[in-house]
Amino acid sequence: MKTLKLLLFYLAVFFAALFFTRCSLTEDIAKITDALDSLKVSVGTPQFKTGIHFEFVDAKTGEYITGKELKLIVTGNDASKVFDNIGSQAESYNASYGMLDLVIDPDVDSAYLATNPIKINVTPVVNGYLSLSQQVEIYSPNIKNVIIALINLTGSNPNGVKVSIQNLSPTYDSQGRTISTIVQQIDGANTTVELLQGTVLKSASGSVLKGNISSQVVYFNPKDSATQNIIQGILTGDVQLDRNNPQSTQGKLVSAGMFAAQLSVGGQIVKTFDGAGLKLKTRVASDLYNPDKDRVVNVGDTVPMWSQEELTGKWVFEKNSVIKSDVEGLYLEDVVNHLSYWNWDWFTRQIGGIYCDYPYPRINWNLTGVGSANVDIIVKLNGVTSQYPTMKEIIYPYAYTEFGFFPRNRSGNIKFVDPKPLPGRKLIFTPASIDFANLNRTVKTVNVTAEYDNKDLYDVKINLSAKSSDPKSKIIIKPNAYLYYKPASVRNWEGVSLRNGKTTFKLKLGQPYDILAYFGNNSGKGTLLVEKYGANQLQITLTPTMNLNSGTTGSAIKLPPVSKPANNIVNVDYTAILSASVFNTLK
Amino acid sequence: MKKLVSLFLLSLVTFVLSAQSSTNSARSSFGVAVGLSASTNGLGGNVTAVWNDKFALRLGYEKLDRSFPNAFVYQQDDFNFDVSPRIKTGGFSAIVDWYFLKSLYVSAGVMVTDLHLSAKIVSADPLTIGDIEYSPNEMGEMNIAVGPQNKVAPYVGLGFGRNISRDHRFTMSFEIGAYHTGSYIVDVNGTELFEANGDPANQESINNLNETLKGISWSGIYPVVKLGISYKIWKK
Repeated sequence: MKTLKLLLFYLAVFFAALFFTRCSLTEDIAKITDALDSLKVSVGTPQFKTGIHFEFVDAKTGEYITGKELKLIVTGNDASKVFDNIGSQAESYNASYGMLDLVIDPDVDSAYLATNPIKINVTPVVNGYLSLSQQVEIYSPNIKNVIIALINLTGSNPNGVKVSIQNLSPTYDSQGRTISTIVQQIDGANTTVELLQGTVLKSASGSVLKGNISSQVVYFNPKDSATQNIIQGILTGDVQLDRNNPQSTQGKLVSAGMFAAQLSVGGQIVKTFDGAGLKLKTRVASDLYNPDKDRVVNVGDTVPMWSQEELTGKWVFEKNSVIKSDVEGLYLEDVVNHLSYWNWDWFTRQIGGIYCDYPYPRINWNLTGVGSANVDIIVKLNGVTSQYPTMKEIIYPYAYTEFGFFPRNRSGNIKFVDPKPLPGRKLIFTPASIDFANLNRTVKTVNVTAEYDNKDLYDVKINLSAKSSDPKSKIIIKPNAYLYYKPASVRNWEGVSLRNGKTTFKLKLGQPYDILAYFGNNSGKGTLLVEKYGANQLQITLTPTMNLNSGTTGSAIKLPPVSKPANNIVNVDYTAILSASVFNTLK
Repeated sequence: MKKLVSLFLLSLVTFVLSAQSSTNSARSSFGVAVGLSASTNGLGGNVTAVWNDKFALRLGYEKLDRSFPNAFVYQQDDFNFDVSPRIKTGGFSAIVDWYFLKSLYVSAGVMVTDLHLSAKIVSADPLTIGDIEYSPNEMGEMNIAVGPQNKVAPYVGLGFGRNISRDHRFTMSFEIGAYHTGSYIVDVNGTELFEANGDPANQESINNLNETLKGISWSGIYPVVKLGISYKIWKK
């Protein structure tokens, strides 16, 4: 009983203390309800692991092709697996600012690619430039970078590219046959196209075409390094070794000369020739390397002639031509009976590694401290001058570069160069060069480390979101994409991965930077500037010039000045408030 | 929070003082019992040792892990989400029982709690972005979890019956109590399209909720209602 009394005493003290504490249950529940109401659900846009980043540049100047409508037509068996970077599909995709990001169906993974590489044919179409098709192949789940150098039909081009646009006025007999041969000089008398006497021009439907001919012929001289750089992409991919057997073979073509000819009569494209046909002729440099013979060319060497299949970009074997000579030197000539792009090439194929192993020798890029970088790859083949190209590559972490054009039994050197260092940044390549006698048929890794001058360089950590102007909406969109940025005064864009709205830019103090992002056929552009504010503060100005149809078009946003951080790291949170209609298109 | 801690300390002092004052009158009777329990902490077992008829030390483990697949649909904006709650609780406990009457006792001790209340949230419908349709599986999932601020939590309770019989082999007990983990902590993470929910930089609203919970005195209290039986396996 004594124990119970003692217990009851202490319990009385306990409950008295409890009852005299203020009851805050109602207020507490209200606080929790408010906190729950403020909860947001973050929904990321899809992250595509496999895609293609295209850059379209002028072949001569290397400048991005901007200010013109540029569309990329995608054809081929795997075109159905290609989408824009918000997952929409079309027959063609519009580039802006000279770039375009496409993605591959997310169901296509590394296991699928291992046995079914994605193969598409792409044709850029832009007014004033040649529409050359090329195949793009994807073997692994990465972002593949493709730089397409376009031939200017009315301006200047690399020395090895010759453009001839002429109006030809043949006379025809009653059967539609040309009465005389008409010669079109492409590079003086060195390279010519002859519409032979007795030729009937026909359209794709088989109609006979008569009248004045608008002829556009572009010739690519393989001896010119810059021209090689252009045609390497065009000559990569599947080839068909037998005109009557559509089976494809993987390999590389090494050019001895390429023609891109287009003839039209009254706006109708000439597709085939009956009768005599069209004769193509070009001089062959006496020191041109013949990979079939592993020596320079000689009279009597055969060079296969190929035409390009329009929809797939595949090169189809047509015939063997023979190198001849006259007083002017060596030359190739042959007659064709349909119009396409025509190419004299030696084929290096994958046969037990005799010519060119599969996969090709390749370099894996291992980047540290940089999102992407522009790199010049200077290939120098021992004993041969100017035939192998200086390649321009944009490298990303996990990206790689394949070299499918190494001839057998040759050695040489690949050197890596930062073509234009950005303000405050220097790229270090390790190793700085590779002897490709060692690289052949193997994979090498090149480490690329960015060294920054940290004096005035800041890591600006961006956290981007988009939300609806509808206050009831609790969804926050976190974009996943690639962003591109560059100093306003610099040509090349740098790519950085925007992951769930977050990325880091390395920005030089006081240097205005352009920022660019793609959302399908729309693009968003802006500028970002970090500058001093007073003695010890920084001011960040973000000027979005969004182009999301009816979306926000922003004026300059000056973020509140922040104390100059000792570690040079600045955090920027920016939430775009979009109209409900635009916001809903992003969900 | 401070008030609750004060109350807990007060009750602990009460418990100890009372225990001390009653030790003198306790009858020495050492014994060991094994028991089974069913409670809001799950099903479990315990070993109880008693060194007199007033005090017992009880070491136990209980576990409850139950999922409720697609229990309900939550609608937000244009999205419908299937919500699958999961209750996981239990843990190890070390508790001293003071029998101030023959069949009435108070308990105090600590619990290493496995408390984890969660909900897996997946889209109920496929989502088409552009021309690509994502199945709910491809969209990933979001997980919301409520856990304890402190895994080691003080426990107090009041019980009827005994956890070890005084005069027989079998006995039963009924106990109500609570342990206090400091506060409930909400955590959110996600995969695929919902991955950003797990990013600390995007958790302003979750942080706000957690701060609110930490400011609420009863946040972190987990109630315990327990029914137990025991069998005395050794007595001296």
